[in-house]
Amino acid sequence: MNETVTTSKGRHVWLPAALILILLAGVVADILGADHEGPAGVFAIPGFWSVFGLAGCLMLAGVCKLVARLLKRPENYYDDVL
Amino acid sequence: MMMFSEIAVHPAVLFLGAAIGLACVRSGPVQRVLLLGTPVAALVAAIRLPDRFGTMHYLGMDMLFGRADALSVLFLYSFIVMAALGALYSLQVRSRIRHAAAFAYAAGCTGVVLAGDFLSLFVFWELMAFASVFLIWGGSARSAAAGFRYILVHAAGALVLLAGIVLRVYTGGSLAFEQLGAGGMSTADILILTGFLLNAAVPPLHAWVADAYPEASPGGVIFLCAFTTKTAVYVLARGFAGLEILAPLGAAMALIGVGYAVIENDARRILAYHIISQVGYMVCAIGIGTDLAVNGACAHAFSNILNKGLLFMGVGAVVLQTGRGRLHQLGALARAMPRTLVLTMIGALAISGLPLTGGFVSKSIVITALEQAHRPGLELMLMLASIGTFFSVGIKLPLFIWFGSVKADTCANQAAGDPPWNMLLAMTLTAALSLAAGMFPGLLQALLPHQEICRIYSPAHVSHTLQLLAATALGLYIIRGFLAPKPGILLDVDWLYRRGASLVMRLCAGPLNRMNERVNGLYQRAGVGPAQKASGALTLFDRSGIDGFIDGLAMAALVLGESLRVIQTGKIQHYIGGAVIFFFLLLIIVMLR
Repeated sequence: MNETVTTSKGRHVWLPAALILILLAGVVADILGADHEGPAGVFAIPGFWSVFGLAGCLMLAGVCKLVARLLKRPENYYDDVL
Repeated sequence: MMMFSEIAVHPAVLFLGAAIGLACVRSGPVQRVLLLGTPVAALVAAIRLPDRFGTMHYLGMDMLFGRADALSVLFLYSFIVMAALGALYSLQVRSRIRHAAAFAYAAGCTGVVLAGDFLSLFVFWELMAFASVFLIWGGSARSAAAGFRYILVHAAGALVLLAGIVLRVYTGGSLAFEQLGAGGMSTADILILTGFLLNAAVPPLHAWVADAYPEASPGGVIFLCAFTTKTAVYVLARGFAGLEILAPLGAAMALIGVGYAVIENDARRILAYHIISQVGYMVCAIGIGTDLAVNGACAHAFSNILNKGLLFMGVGAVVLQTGRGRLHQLGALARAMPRTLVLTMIGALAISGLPLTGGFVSKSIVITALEQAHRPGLELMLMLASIGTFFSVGIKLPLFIWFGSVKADTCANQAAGDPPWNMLLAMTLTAALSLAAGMFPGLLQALLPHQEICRIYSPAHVSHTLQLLAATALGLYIIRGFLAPKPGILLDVDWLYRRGASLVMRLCAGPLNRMNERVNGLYQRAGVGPAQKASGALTLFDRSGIDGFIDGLAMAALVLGESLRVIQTGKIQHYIGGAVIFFFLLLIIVMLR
């Protein structure tokens, strides 16, 4: 039982750690490749797409959750009219 | 007077011939030969097509059934390849009508992408609509109703398109299908564009996709997801490249589609909404209209046909093997269907734009085109849609189908296994093509209509894509507790003609019916009663007055005739006597005066 819990926790730690490492690697790549070809303006700020990805994901989830409250209906909503 | 200037084997003819054969043939082996052989023959015919063929002069108009330029050929190859993969996937299906409809549908699509004039385009456009509905009708009341709604929506779109074509010809426009709206959009151009936008599922004309596609058979939806919307992308690229309104419309479309996909519970409906989102990328790029942007739209159409087909194949296999399609009913299928999981994940990651997949190549071209056109707002919108794509299809869909906990009501799923060999083979080939397009981008770029290309695997593109995907995954990890799917459906624009039509019916049955009854009663009292009395009076007048006068006149004529008959004795002395009496009477009258 304890082993299962440890494995589960270990997996949970491993996953975000790997994701954060990828993000850091991306930021480093942005810094190293700053003088090379690539987008200009705000998009060229190292790590911009990491922040945009995280913020965009959280915002999308929040907005969609709110929209779902408005639009969600029971499965049989259209059954009487097909 | 009809005259074909030259003969070439049109792939649509092959598909139509095979469709007729499939509708008639009962033998399984012959059916399989037709299913697998026809796309191969069509591909050979497509490779050998001349640039222009099938010109015809009809009723004073020039028609061109075959225009195989670079833009047409890319879509033509994509459709034929997908027809082959769809046929392989559906090989175990025994319904002759389904197979025939699928190939007639393929004939319509190949006909549209090769059509050089509006008349032949419209004919094949309609063939597509009417053939595809047979892939939706599946025997259940739900699919029958969805099919009827689908055909009604498409019939309305076709009428708008036809009105545009007729108006264009009537106002002296050419029947040739070329770039439209170059000197400003006329009414005819707007009508034609509306007809095209409906098939491209551009909001608010998009609801038919999520309404109809999930009701189709697992094999039928492979054809549906590849053909109708991508044919619309082709006609938009051909006729309206550079039309500014399409760029924001496409970006909004990408976000609306993905927004619905994020909160939807039905696996196939998630993918249907996702079609709308991905077509949004293409419509946006077409609106930008530069050579690179149009290349991006075409490349994205090609890779999306493969990726979306692969996803629908994987989810279709799950539906077929478990009999369930709602995420809240599925879960923990990874051990039961491991091959399906791996292949579907390739499709999910490819559509999310992971490097080394076709999705990465095509999205990179679209994004580079937006950067070069200096449209940062649109770029951000499409990037946000990419986040939603990875959210809904890259993580949510596989997580709740193949992973997650085994709930009490999902125990039955564990008995399921991977689908039959032909379905797995079709999925494997589709995944291989998607990976090949990603690993060897030059192959895809060689098929694109314009010469302008961009560097795909630039460090900036790879780094930004990986950052975006990893950040999305991290965000989802943080809010994982909110992801659990819940039963229910989502309202969309189709509410207007589903519930809305029902409201109209209730309005007719209730208030309008009562109003009708009152008007009827008023009419009975104020109209029918007096009218009946007037009718009685007129009848009396008719009988006593007119009939009496006519009858009396007739009777008098009869009496007079009888008297004359009596007088006419035939004896000369009687006539002389009568004449003398008449003479004396006349004399007396004259003398008395």
